[in-house]
Amino acid sequence: MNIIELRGISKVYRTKEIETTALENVNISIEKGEFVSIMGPSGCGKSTLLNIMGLLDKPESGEIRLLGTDCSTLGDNALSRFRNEHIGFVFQSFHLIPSLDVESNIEMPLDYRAGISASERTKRVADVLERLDISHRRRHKPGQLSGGQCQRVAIARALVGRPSIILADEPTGNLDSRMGAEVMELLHTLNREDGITIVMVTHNEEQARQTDRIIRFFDGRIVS
Amino acid sequence: MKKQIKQILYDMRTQPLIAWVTVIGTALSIFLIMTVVMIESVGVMSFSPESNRERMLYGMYVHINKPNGSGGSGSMSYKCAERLYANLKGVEAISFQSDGAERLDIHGTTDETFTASVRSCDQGFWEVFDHKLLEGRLFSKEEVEAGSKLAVVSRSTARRLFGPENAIGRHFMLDHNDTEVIGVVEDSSPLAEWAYGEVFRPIDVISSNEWGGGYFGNIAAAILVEDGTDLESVRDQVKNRYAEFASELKAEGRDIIYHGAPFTQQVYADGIPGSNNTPDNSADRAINVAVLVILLLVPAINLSSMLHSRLRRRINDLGVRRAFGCTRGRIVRDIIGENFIVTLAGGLIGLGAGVLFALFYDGVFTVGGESVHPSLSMLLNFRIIFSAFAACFILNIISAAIPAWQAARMNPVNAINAK
Repeated sequence: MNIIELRGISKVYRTKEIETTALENVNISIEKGEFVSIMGPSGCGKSTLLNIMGLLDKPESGEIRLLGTDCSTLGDNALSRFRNEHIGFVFQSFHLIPSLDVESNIEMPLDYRAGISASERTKRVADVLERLDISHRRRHKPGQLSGGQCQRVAIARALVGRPSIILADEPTGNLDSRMGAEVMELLHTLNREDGITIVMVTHNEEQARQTDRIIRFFDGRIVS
Repeated sequence: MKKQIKQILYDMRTQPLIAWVTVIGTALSIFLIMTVVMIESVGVMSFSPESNRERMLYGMYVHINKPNGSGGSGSMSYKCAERLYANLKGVEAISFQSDGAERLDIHGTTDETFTASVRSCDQGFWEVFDHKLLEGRLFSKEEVEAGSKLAVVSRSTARRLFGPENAIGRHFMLDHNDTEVIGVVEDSSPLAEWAYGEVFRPIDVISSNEWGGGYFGNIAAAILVEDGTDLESVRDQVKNRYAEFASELKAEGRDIIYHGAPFTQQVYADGIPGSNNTPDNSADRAINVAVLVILLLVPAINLSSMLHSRLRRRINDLGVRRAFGCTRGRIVRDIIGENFIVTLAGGLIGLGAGVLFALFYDGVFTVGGESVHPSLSMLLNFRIIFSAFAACFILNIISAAIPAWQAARMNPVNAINAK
């Protein structure tokens, strides 16, 4: 069963002087439980594709179907709710909220979800803290953590809402090789044990080879 | 709420200049607004012994023209005041009293002669105003009609007249008359302009310093309307009496001119423009409203740009929140809520500064040209605290709405990637 289906996706960025085609008639199908890498040179449209797949950006044309839902027709609030319930994001620069401690950062997606009691929230946060082995850092602020720990917190935040899909944009791009390997191992574990579908943008050929499939991009088009 | 407070504290650490300028700017704005509101409020809100100001009406002057075109206006004689104001329907109590307190020399058993505010009034005064009786009793209708030389004095006046000894039954010299103290009441504030006095004596209902054909004198009427009765219905009765009075006076070739009496506490507080004019304070009120609007708008524009700066530094955070499912509406609510906490903190500082200013700075409140200091309980009442809260709320909405809306409208991708 395809959990992600993109059909005829195009995206054009326009300024007063110039039009840049970021994506041109992109068709992608990803099955539930797949771990897919997207590769390509800088500026080829990988991140744009990931943003459209994550319902953060809208395409010029085409259809986005996630978990069988046609998301192209959803309004802004419905898109927010869909992201909250089904998608987790992991960013290259972690993007943790600096004013909040680790626990509150992880809890954040649950703040935006209706129908979860305070005790359930606490339990879910405690579970992911333990699973990612960062319980001892729960009261620390992001500024007090290493890059690897920050990315663990970011993955915990993506995981706490129990999403079906995790979209990771160069998740090891800001980490050294040892920490990068740890993060990759973690993503593989989540994919293997929880059956979470993961789509990862990366420049790292070796990491890409470890995934189920590589989609290669060039000039806004899939080349293989 | 907890997370919003964490964010505020974080901003204060990382952007101290902007954060503190925001708090101090809010405090200054609320301070100025509250000073205006307190000056306004003290004139109309109830406090002991004027505990029912919302039910009060005041009859102060008459304006009577003669056939030759000349005329006069001023305070009423007792006879005239009774003609216009006695036995009105829907009135709980009425006090005929001197049109203000006189400053007279008094002398008791201590060696000191000093000047005190002496109010002449009838027995109804004690029903209209709730002076707290500490010792003795208040004077009766019979004693007023008999012109008895007795007085009720305030606690501090009793102490100045007789020292620590019991004042009841003791005598002192008041305006060259030997006067007996029959009661001691709690001190009151001169801001209670109709009830204040240091010495209260029975009014001379016989002469009341009559002049001008017996229509003019030194009497004013303070009317306490029954609870639940429309003040306008009482004013209408007085208006009718003016009309009847005018018919009677026509026979004498005189004409009485109606200037809208009796006046509500609000009209009285706004100012009565003399005895021969009808109060119309709409221009003053418009100016007051304009001042309040300016006091809100100018800081709100500045605070808005401060908030804009603060949010610009947090644009990544807002983008990430959107990515994880925060709706635009929630972003707006959170920013406005967070800003409200900051505004409230500044507002509390501003309110505190305003109260201290009103309590200790000479000239904020004046009665008869003299500076008067209100009590803390007069300033910290529901009306003033609610006004401060409302001012904070309005300031918050004006200053936060546009930046919050702009932040919520940002494309999440652009927000996340913003440098």
